[in-house]
Amino acid sequence: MTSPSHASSRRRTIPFGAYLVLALLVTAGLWAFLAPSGSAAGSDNSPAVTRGKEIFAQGCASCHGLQAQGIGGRAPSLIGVGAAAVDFQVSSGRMPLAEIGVQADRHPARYTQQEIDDLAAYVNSLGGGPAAPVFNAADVQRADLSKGGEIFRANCASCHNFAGAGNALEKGRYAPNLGQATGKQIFEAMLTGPESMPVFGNNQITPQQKLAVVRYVQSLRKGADPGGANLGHLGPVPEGVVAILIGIGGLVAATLFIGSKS
Amino acid sequence: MSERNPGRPDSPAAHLEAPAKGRAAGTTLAAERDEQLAARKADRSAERIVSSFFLLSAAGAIFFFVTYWIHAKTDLFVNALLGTSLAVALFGIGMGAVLWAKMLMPAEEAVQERHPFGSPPELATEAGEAWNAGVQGSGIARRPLLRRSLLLASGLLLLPVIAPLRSLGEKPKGELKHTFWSKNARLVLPDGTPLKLDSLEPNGIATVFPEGHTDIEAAANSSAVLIRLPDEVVTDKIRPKSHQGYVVFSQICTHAGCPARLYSQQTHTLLCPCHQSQFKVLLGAQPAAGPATRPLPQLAITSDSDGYLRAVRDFDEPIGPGFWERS
Repeated sequence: MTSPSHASSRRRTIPFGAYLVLALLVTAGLWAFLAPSGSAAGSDNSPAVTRGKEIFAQGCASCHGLQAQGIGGRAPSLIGVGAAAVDFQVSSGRMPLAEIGVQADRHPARYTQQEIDDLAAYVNSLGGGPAAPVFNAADVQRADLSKGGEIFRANCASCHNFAGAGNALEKGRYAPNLGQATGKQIFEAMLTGPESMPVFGNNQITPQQKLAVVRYVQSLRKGADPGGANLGHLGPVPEGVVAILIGIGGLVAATLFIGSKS
Repeated sequence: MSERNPGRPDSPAAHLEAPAKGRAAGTTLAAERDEQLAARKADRSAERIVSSFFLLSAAGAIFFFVTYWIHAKTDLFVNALLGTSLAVALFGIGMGAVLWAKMLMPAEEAVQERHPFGSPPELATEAGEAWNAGVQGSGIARRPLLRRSLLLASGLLLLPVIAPLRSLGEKPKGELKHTFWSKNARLVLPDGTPLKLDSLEPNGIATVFPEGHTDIEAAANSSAVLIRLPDEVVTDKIRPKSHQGYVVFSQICTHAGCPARLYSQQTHTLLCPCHQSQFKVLLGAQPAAGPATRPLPQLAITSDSDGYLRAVRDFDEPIGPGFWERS
């Protein structure tokens, strides 16, 4: 450590500008060494990446920053999130964000699948992450439905409800209803853990098991509901409301009618 | 409709049987006839209303029978038809009966007095005398042998009552304080798959059991939630029992014992679906909202040379809702 007097004498002799130049040089040098290697790959200029970069600059950069580096307090960095996350967020219309809130809601997609693929290619070029899964309906139909149900009940049902109808979380957040999610989006959500959702990586739930979950979630939509009105598949709370208001209320009304004087 | 003067036994039917009985002297004959006619009319229409409900019921029953007969296989629509027709059949009979009582039967208010509770004094005196005579006659005051042996016999009668308490089962040993987690127990998924250091992605979660105790019924107290936190968010509060970003908490809510397994990865919050208790994982699963007052106990974990996650020891404190012995 230098003594205070020593430091102050140096400050007098070396001009401030020199410090600034030195600091800039050091920063630039460090950047060259420490910057995520993916950022160099950002200069990848395949046609898809170039197109994606353009779409990104117009539609996403105002929040996520021109380099997708994120803006504190506004939007997270997208470096390293991967193509699957982009495809999930943009194809489900959650991004671009419709309004600031605790959670992005599902909307009709704002971009075509081609544009989404380009965007995903661009974000992927910034630093790899999970790639968007490729499978078709036949692959889903070959998956093990009962195993999918097992995995769904063990891992998904606690938040998304036994019938995939969703559930409330804390502070206005919620696990969404899975009724509209496409198979690809369900797969990507497990893979990337969007928003409040935990990540279910391929070591934990293998791709084949994920397909089984997709098949199970899709099978839930064809529920026969032999008991009649399903009340949104929300379980005992709405059922209780109906039982109390309509059931008991009706009994009380009937009792009053029978007991009243004519 | 029917005459609305409850408390008097004069329904329209009564008018028909005894038209002119007990009329006030000033009433003219014509007015009386008008009144009778109106009453008879009301009576008829009430009868028609009641019988129409009975006929509705009959129609419902026939409709049910026919619907069931012609639809060999029931589907949602047929089920609805069957249910509705049966409901109409039952409702028709019930409603008809109620309206019959309300519109056509005499409405009278009857008051039934309660008799006094106590016995008449002479009876009480008589009973007292009988009791005293019995005591005298038995000579219980004069015969200590009889008295004491009777006391002994009736006292020992308690034994056969107390003895079967043993059949309620063994005394609880340590089950309330200990779970199946033990030193070096591997962390496994509910299907028995052991978990390694690379099993979860950062921000991933899984329900885990100690290896060999995955039966959800028998080992319910051992179910725990494994969370892999990104390294940089692990706090000093949870670091000692964590291992490379992995933390394990009991997933039995400390309020009422539901599985507090809803996990919000952005806020690192575990939620209980039953009463909305929230536990802040980074603060050692400290309750932040809802009725739970005690943090979820954390399980100390480590990994072995093959990368399998293992428990260091059992939970340091009882899991789940507080019980009476816990201070």
